[in-house]
Amino acid sequence: MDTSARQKIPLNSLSPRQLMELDACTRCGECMKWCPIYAVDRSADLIPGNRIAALRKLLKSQHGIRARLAAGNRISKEEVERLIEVLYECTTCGQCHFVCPARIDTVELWEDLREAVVEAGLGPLPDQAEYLRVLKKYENPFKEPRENRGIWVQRGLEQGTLYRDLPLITESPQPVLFYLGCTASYNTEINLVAQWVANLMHYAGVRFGVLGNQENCCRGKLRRMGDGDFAAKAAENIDLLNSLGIDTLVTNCAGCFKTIFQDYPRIKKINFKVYHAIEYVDMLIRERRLQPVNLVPMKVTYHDPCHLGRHNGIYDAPRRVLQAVPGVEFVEMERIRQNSRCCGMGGGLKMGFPEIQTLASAERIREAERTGAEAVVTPCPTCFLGLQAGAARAESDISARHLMELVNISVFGR
Amino acid sequence: MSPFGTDLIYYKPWLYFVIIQTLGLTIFIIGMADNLNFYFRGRARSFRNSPGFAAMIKIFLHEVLLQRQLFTRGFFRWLNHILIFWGFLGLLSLSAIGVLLKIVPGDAAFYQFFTAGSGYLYYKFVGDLAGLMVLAGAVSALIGRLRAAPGSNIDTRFSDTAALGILVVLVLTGFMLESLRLAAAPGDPAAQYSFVANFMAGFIEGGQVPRFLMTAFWTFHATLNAVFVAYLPFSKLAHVFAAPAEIVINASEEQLRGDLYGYLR
Ligand code: HEM
Ligand code: SF4
Ligand code: SF4
Repeated sequence: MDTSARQKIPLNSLSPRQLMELDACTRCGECMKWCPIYAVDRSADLIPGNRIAALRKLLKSQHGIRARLAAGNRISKEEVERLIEVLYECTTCGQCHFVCPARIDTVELWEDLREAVVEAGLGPLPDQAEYLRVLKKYENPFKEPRENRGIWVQRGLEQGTLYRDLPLITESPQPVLFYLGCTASYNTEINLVAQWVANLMHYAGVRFGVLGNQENCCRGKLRRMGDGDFAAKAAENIDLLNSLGIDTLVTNCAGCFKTIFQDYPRIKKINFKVYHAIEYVDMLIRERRLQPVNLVPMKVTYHDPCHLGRHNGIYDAPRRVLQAVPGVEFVEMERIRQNSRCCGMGGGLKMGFPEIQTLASAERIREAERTGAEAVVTPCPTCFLGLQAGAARAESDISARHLMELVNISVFGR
Repeated sequence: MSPFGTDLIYYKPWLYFVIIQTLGLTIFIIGMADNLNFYFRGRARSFRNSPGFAAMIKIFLHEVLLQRQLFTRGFFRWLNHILIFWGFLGLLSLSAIGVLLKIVPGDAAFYQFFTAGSGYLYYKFVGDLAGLMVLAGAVSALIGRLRAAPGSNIDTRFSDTAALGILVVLVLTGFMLESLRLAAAPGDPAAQYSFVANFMAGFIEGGQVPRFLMTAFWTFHATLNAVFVAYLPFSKLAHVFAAPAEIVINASEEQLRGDLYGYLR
């Protein structure tokens, strides 16, 4: 990274309210007790409060009276580099926001600071920059060709895991769009999750379609890592989605859900309702359009994905779904809901710090183990993958399962 | 006797007082102006949604005045802080009254109430109570800070502790001055209302403290006050202004977050 300490970090992406937040932090240390990343990497620089203090020092030395008085920049190049590194060694899980006595909206702050750092040409980290380059070029992070995005339907039908064909929404307009996202489209294991959701929606009589090869990446990772192109790229996607004439969008990916539900409307008005698949399935069960009747005898615990829980307040729907499955014995972990420990998969951490991510997942797995459950279930494909890797890392007997699988088994008996 | 009547007992260098307070206040204003200037260099919008005033008022009551979030983080943490916070509010109100007394005409009912009427007693009582609250909160925060520092990794820089230290000494010297005054002029019928200072005065034999020492004490207290005020915008005590403001604005942005403010559901 070519970092010059004199390189000014612009304040275009930050609001007065956010700069005030830098002064509102009292370094009380509450965030230190809860941050899932500091828990596995004990570097004091990572503590959110310390990060805020360092950022305040840097930004105040570059803007305002002090910048003019102290002609040179008193912050060393190494300090700036370290600061940018720790800004990215964070899953933007939002735990620090929920415990902060000053209610500092840290997730928003971290993401906007990343944008400022990218604007200054100081971020993201090299591996993350490469990830974003690939994402923009291929419209997915896996370097997969666009023509392969929709082939899963045919494959699912042939393998018998997808029970009915799905119409392309561009050819046959439907009121509901099922939006897969990149991971479910290309990762064959996660694609099963999409198939389960499709099977359930069909069974419940929902009229829906998919975009197939025309589906774009939600481009949320651009926002998570501070890429300034996010607004323009998101607007493109909003225009596409708005043109479909749908009234509802359902997605099985918690990351896509957060992006479409929370970030898109800040850029441009969207003309449809957005549901995460687990909320939608919960609704179908409550409307008795879906009946999980087959026994799934299993002791399970539930992991709250940050993007559903803390970021969007979806805590109860997945728990209701879990409890609607007969045979399931549901036990809670110690840290749940607002205090759920992040599995480490969010915020681009995995691309920059894969080892730290696995450690964070392993930590969550150990918490799940303590409940005596045989499986930890979650409705987020990304958390699901993270927890799987965490279970392997922790050499745990507990298995990570996708919540949709349990519902699928219970409804269809297979 | 008015709250400003101790000139009769010992000499107070008022000219010095005016100079040092003006200096302190000037530095304070420059610091605050620099902070505000810094905040408003942010080009993004503070309100992404239209401001929700109902949510802002509600959160001001719950989170700023009552500090509920701090309460959920621990009772003693909350108690320490609420003592300092409310104590400060008390002292601030008294200072405001003091300033008003300098401005309003001598025959105004307000002036009469606080100089000749029972207002003086309230003034003395609230002053001691608020001072005691700040002292208790600050001393226990200081103890907590010095005890926790080695084990904890959070950046507890010297300036944080210094700010607390100044606060403690400031309140302590305030009480000392008041007790010296009471000890030097025994028989004040209002003395029992200054309950802390009166208690402390019990330890001082009347009139034994030389007047010049009282003057020195008074000067030290006034100087420390100016230092404290000047230091506010530059220390972590900048949160005294930034935290309430940012909490209230954030509340408008996050009013739909029932889970963030669990009790607002
Ligand atoms: C309303 C928003 C405010 C919030 C959220 C807030 C929060 C905090 C927190 C978390 C601490 C650290 C205490 C600890 O570590 O336990 C602190 C310290 C302190 N606060 Fe506030 N504060 C607020 C407003 C105020 C106001 C209005 C005052 C004074 C008038 C004040 C005076 C102090 C002082 C003197 C300290 C130092 C004590 C220490 O270091 O532990 N605060 N505040
Ligand atoms: S919890 Fe909030 S106020 Fe306390 S140190 Fe962390 S960011 Fe700062
Ligand atoms: S958002 Fe999560 S990972 Fe990032 S600093 Fe806060 S608690 Fe730590």
